Amino acid sequence: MEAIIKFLKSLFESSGFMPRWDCGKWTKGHGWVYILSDINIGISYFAIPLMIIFFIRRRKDLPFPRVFTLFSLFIIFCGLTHIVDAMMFWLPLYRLNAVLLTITAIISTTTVVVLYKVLPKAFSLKTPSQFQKIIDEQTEALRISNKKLEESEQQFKALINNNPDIIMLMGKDLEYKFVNESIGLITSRKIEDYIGKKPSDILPGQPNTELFMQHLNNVFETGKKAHYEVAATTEKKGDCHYVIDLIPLLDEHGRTNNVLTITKDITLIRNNEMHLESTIDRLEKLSKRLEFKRNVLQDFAYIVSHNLRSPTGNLMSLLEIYQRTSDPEKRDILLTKFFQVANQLANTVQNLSEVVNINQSLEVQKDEIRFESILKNIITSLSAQITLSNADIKYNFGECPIIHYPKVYMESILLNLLTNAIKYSSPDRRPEVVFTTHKQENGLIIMECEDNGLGMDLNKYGTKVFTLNKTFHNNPDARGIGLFITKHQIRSLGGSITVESEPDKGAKFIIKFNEIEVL
Amino acid sequence: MRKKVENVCIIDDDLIYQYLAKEEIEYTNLVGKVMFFDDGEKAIHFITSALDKDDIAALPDVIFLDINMPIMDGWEFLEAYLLLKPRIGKNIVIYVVSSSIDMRDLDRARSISAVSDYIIKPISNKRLVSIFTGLLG
Repeated sequence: MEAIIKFLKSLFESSGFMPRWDCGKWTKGHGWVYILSDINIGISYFAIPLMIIFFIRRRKDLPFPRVFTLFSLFIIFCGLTHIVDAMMFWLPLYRLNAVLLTITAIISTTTVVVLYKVLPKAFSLKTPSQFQKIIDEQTEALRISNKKLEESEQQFKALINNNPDIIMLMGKDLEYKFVNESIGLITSRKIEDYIGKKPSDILPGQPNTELFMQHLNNVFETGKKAHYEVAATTEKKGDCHYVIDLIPLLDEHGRTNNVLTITKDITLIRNNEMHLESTIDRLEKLSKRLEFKRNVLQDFAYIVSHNLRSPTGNLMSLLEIYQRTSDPEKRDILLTKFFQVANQLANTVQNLSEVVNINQSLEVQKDEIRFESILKNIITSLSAQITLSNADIKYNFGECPIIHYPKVYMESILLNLLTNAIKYSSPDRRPEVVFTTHKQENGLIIMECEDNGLGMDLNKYGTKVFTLNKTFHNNPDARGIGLFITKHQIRSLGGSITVESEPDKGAKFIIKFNEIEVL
Repeated sequence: MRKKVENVCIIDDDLIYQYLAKEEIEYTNLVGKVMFFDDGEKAIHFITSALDKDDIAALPDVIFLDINMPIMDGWEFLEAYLLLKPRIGKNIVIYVVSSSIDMRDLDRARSISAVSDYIIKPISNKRLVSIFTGLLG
């Protein structure tokens, strides 16, 4: 221990050693070559770590920085030993040199150990040329995928631009981000005129713009799709119908950052629909007319067989019997019957002509008429009968005072209803007739005529009330014509007449004037 | 004396036709008695009361039935008649006689088994004779 302390104390002393010049036979040249080389090596050894440190500090990503540090230290110490070695020619500090050599040995050994450990890792590191190869490969792959992307973008653009629908992308700032070429179908504005603008900049103050903005705001707020239809007048295509879809596009957090809008022109479909509707409407009207005509024809077939064929048949039989009869008394009876049938036939023909007239005049002139004024006229013209029967005639046309109807028909209808009511009044009570009108929500105009007369058993007569030559009372005036004509008049104008009645309680006739219109 | 169809019934609301039918039937000289009813209901009443009295002889042998009548028409009469038929111990021949030339009426009449035939008015004397002689066998 004492020896070590003594050694360290005399570290910078040269006692006991001779300067190198004096030890051995140095020529000047040989000595200086030795010295200068040592100094040169020493300086170079100092410079190398400086550059390494500079390098390490610049290249932060350098692998194994510890190895570089050790290496720097090792070189510095090597440098030091060379400098001390050069000094030996004048100052033989062999003790110091021994210490420096020891330190250098330790550091170099450590470096060897560390390097040995690091070596496998270092081998696994790619060389710059390997890196270059990888970079080249990846650059090529990137170029190919870029090209593919470009192609698919072109295809996508072609797809979008050739779509007849107008497709737009609206940003959160409510500005146009993209507009496809189809916008050119309806406006002469360029696509560039839209980008970066708001709809309210393009078409300010229009109801359609406001509606669009409402929907757009709503989609941004709720993140839910919207779909609506709109009619618009466009610059190039005039009046059009559109159906507009707004589709939210979400960012990675699920928030709507853009809205895709698709505007589809459905004008043709709408027009076809409207055309179809009007055709259906016309067909329906036609079929109603046909139905009506068919009913009229059926009625006529019935009338022909019952009201024309039977009296004609009777006439033929009468003639046949008349021909084979010689008894003058019987011949007289036959002749009377002959007149009876002939009269009946003449009456029927007369009534039928009237109905034919009604049915032929489908487009009979209609007027704005007041129920009250027509009824008042009828009451005046029937005043004799009314006075005689002491009938009480009331009316309430307050709910529907006016109707668009042929005046002549209304007069005939009211006349028939009133005469019927008086004719078939009950002898047991004062006749009472009430006329009322009302209008339903769908526009149907209904008139009711209610009396307290004899009434009739509808179970027995229900289907026959409005047929020709049917009477249900032993009334000498009854000819069974009025209601038949009335029904035809009402029906020819698309209406209907029905009756509710109980024997000896009265009858209520219900007329729906414009049924065919409200169907 | 020749054998006669005893009882013929006419159901029709046309009074002129009633008179003419009576004339024509009597003219055949093949019928004993002719009855008339203005509508189906009256005829059904008659048949019911005859059955109640067990008076089968009063029931007609032939019925000439009109279709179009007030109160109870020909079709309604046939319905009511078919209900009574099990009680009637006699073969009654029914002819529907109408001025209707509507095929639907014709088909309807012929679809009812109780109806022998559909005759379109006016009924000729010849037809009556053939009906009655046929019945007398």
